[in-house]
Amino acid sequence: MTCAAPKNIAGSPTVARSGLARERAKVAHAALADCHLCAHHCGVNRLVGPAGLCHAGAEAHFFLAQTEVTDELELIPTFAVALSGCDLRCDFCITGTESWNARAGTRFSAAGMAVQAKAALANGAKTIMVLGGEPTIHLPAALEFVSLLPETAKLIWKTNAYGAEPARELLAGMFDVWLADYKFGSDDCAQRLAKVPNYTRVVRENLLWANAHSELIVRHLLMPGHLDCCWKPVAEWLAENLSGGKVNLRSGFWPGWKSARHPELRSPVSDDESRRAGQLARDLGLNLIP
Amino acid sequence: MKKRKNILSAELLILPDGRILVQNLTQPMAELLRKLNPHDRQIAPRTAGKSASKPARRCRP
Repeated sequence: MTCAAPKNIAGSPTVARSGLARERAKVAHAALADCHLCAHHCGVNRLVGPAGLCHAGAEAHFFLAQTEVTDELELIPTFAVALSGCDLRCDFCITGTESWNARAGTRFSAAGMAVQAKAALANGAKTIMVLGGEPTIHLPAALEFVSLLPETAKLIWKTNAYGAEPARELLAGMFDVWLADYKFGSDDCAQRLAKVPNYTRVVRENLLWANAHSELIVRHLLMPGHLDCCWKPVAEWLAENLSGGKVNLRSGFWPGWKSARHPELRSPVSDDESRRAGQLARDLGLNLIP
Repeated sequence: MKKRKNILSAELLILPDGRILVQNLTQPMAELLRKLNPHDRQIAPRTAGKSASKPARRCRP
């Protein structure tokens, strides 16, 4: 899948995405000296080495790069590039080993990965997806990668939506689709399961911004025992604030990594919970996509 | 960048009730899963054939 034309980037319709991405990659790299890319606002200097809650330095690593068909039907096959490290600490993370270790995997080379991505497009991939861990913490590498991709390639930014304004400004117009998680319906659950503060405020702000600046698909992974505290408030907010927006309700909760720390997360989502979650979505008129 | 072999990877979790959870689903793995259950509504659209003749619920990507 390709876009009809390059995106209108930050009010500069004549400026190609690749050129802007190249410039912004430099800005993003400089921003690592006082890192405020995500809403933790650590303010650490990542240019001198791994630092901050994500424990990432200036150098990005990746742990997966392949064409996949796991994601939303309208996006697949997608060439997925998963960067190591994350700013959240979800105990139920399905890629915990790599997401909790920003140095896991292989050193990322934007040029080398761009060659792979172009080959994937030539072999039938519809889109290119940058994900993690959380790609926001590796914004310089991600933007450099974008700068080397064809202008017409459809690019997906798969994020936990916990980025901060400096990152958003650099991301404007870079990706065609934001595929954003809205994981927790309550700040208590976010703090307990992912050790993340101010979750609701930050994520809602990012979702509204993403919806205004690109195509947005919101994902919610149903968690066992979290229908009322998480899915219900998420669904209600989406219905009220992003009416008609695309929502992917995923029921394949994988009770791995450190899920066992929490009794309710030791099993998959039951069929009954899946049914009730789907019914709630229908009752609220959410635009569910497969 | 270190030269990587072109090896695809996908992970499956087979639950006691027979459901299969999948992550990093690749096209070849989707094809394999479809052969195991041709009627699965989640997997069929992710394969080259892209059709499921009747409802089934087993795999959850």
